[in-house]
Amino acid sequence: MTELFRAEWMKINGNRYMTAFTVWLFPIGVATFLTLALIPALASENFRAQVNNAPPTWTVQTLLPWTVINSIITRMILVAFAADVFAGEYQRGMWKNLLPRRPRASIILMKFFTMSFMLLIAFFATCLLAGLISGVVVRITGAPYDLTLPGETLSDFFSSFALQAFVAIISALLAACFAALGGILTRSILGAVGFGAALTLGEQAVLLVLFFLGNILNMPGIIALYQYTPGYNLSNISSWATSGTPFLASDMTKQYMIDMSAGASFAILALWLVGLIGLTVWMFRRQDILS
Amino acid sequence: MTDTTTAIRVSGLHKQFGRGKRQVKAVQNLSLEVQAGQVYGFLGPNGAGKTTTIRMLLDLIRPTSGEVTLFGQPVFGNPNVLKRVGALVEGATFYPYLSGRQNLEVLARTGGYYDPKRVQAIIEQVGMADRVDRRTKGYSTGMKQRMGLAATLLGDPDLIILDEPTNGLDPAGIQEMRLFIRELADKQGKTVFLSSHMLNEIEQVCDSVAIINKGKLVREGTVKALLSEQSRLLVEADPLDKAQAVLSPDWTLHTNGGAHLTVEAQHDDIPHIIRKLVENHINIYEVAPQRQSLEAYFLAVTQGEDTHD
Repeated sequence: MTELFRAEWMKINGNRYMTAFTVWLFPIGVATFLTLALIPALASENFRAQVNNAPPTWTVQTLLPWTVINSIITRMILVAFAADVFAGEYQRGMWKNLLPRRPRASIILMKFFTMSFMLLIAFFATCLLAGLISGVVVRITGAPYDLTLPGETLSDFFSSFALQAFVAIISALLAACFAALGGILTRSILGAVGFGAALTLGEQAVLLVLFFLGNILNMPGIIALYQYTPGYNLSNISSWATSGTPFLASDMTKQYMIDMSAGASFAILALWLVGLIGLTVWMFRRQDILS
Repeated sequence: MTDTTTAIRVSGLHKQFGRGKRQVKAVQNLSLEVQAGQVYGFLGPNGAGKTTTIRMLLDLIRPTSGEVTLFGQPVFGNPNVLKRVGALVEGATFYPYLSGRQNLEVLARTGGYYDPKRVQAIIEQVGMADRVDRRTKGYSTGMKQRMGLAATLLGDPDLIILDEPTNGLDPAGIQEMRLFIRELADKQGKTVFLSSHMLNEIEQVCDSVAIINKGKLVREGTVKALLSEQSRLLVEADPLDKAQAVLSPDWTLHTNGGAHLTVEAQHDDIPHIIRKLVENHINIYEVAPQRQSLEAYFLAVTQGEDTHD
């Protein structure tokens, strides 16, 4: 399996332009952006004064990238990444070379694993670089950037980091799963991007769609289906972690929703992930490879 | 119990694509056997079902019905048996952004048999040592074919399936490939399943041949047996019209207005033909077997409707 992982890594990372613009973009982008902040830190008295008035802490700076990562734009970028990883094999006519060498399921599962592993490295590197380079910028301005924090703050930081990471990685993986499924179905990178983007965006709009559908069909209770979407469950876990209460999408929907526990949300998200990966593997195992 | 003397056994293989009016029967009731250690030629015109059959041998396409066994083990749902197979299907393809060497590394690692020394040895064997570290994006078709052959040899397979391996090769490359294929069977004991349009190449390299047309097997046998199946004799005699009259009741004759007759007859018929001519006081100048090429044989059988079901 280590050999298969190395093969996948070589293939994915070897496609330098694709990975640079879809994966390494995050750490490189953050590093570049923060490094550019060195210029005002060195040159602008005003900037230095502002930083000294309210010096940022490393805990805040390290968490900051998750806001960017956990956005719809990032998910779209990751759809493109997954589309190339899965559908690229069709477009380059490589399945015929790969499949006689390994069982189909193991190749597909290894693609999911390698892709997730690469994203984890990129996301964690982004956070680490954000914390480190911000530190350099802050220190240049003469403001304090202490690494020592009281125990309670540190534990708060780790809880917050874990939650943000979980939400960002699960939503990134779901977007990637949509694109992977699209890749297997359409056998084209463009088709995979279209399919993945449509499902990712559609998932964001599902509450609105259910609301209108409920009104048209005179079945307002249909809105309760929203509680089984990945979006709701990710928000629900965040809500439990930050405020200790279940997530309410809006007051209008309150009467149709049940109080979903964080555990139930974890289970639903796991079902979504396992289901999407399982469906991709199942469809691929039955597919005739004609390219 | 596994059958190790038969490398490939195909029985009753069918594959149809699409449904209703769009239905295409790509392969119909195909059965054949390839003995281990043979070079087996797989011939057929374009669209005959050769590549579909090869893809079914590799479990890339699931047959509608029928069975394929490799070394006595079923192929479908049994990926382990494919570890004994190396294949070059429908032209060599690679990751264009990786070098030739990196491509081979990816494929070897995927198979779980990466060994840098073996990779280097294979690269040298296919004559790509000086170009293997360049990106495959810039490779010519011939270079890709050489690398494709290298890729088939990575796992030291017992069975090598080559689909049009000489496409894009120059004449020297074709000859090199021909010698290489023979060497794989003769010196290394490999079984080679070779699909090609180059009939001359098949004739020179293969021990046995199968010809398919419209998805059906037309003929199967050793090259020698197939070519002698419709052998012809060239008869030069005088007077020619009298010779024609004497022989025509027993054999099919062809004339081209020259000084000979072409008689569709087996080698064993030569004494009978000579005796008949002598008994009828006809002067004989030459009776010679006319060697039929595989190309002529191929055209004759694929243009007819006669198929072996």
